[in-house]
Amino acid sequence: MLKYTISLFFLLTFYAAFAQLGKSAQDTVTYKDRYGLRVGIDVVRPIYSLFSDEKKGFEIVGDYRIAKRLYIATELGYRDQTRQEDFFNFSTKGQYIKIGVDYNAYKNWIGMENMIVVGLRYGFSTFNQTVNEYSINADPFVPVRTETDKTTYDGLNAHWAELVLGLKVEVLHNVFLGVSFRGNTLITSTQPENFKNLYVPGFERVYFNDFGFSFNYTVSYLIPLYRK
Amino acid sequence: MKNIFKFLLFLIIAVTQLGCESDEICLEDITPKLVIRFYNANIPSELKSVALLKVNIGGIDGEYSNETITNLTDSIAIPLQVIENKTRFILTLQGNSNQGTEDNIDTLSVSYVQQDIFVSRSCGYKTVFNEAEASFVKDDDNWIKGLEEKNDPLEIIDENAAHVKIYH
Repeated sequence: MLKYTISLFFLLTFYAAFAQLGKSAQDTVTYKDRYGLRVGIDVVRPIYSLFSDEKKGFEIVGDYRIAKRLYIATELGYRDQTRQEDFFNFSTKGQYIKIGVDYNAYKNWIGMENMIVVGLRYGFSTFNQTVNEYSINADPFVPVRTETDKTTYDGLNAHWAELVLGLKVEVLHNVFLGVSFRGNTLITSTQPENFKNLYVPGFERVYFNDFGFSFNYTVSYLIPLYRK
Repeated sequence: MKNIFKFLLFLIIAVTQLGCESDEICLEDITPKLVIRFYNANIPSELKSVALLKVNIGGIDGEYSNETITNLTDSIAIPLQVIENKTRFILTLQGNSNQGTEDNIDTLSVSYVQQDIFVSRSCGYKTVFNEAEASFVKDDDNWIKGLEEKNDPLEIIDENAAHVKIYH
């Protein structure tokens, strides 16, 4: 009985080894990821621009794959935005650039190229602020004084850091839909005299502790350059 | 994996829709009021309260009242006009029919130069009053015996201390 068992054992070992050999032969067929340049636009801002004079802007986005999970990413944009506050009304006009990296935190199935984006950006903007009108905030018993002479503050700029969380999904061949949420923190900015940078293009609304949030919805197209 | 996508999408939408508007309430100092303290005309270092004071502002209907003007006070804060560079206060010491006294009306005039200063998003702009001068109109029967500006030149930039002393 023992003799048979040992023989059977050997047989199984050979069989297993053979199976292993066959499998490794299959594994030599590897899938190569596509590398390339992806360019797109923010789809929400142009819609705002169509329907409102107070929110104008556009944004071009782009990224370039440098490693399996790593992309160099950038956003370029323009904003012309007017905001009404309780006691004043102001406009901000300017352009911005953001440069950084995106990391793909999503493990794709073979052939898929979706992304869960975790990224970092350095942002820079040059802009001007115009105070269109303001009212003096005084005791409500006395009549209000409203100044309607516009004051423009030129040559302002801001630097900030941005954390990106987002998604990019390939919906058609080479066409991606993206959404991203960004948390910003202002590093430095040139403040106008007797006013404050309450809105910065690209950074969006500046909260009281120099913090901000922004988001974008993008449609982008991948131009495949090579496979690796 | 599809669930992770869904969850992340939900998270992004939720966070972008959250508006934490913690700078929506104005908590800073706005345009300062004129702070007047009342002193005893006979003993100038001693505070002396005024009873039944009525405050009107020239050109504005109605009586100005707030928590600083009560029946008995030695200190009042009253707003200055911002649409012009001077304010006329009609300070009426109200009479008491039991004691046989009548209303005594005195006029305090304050002139100044305004300077607009940006405060914050929620407070907007305030104005401060520089080169201020205060005087009262003398008549036959003034209840205001004397007036003293706390500083020279007088600057009304906050409400932390009295700007004008009135002796009565």
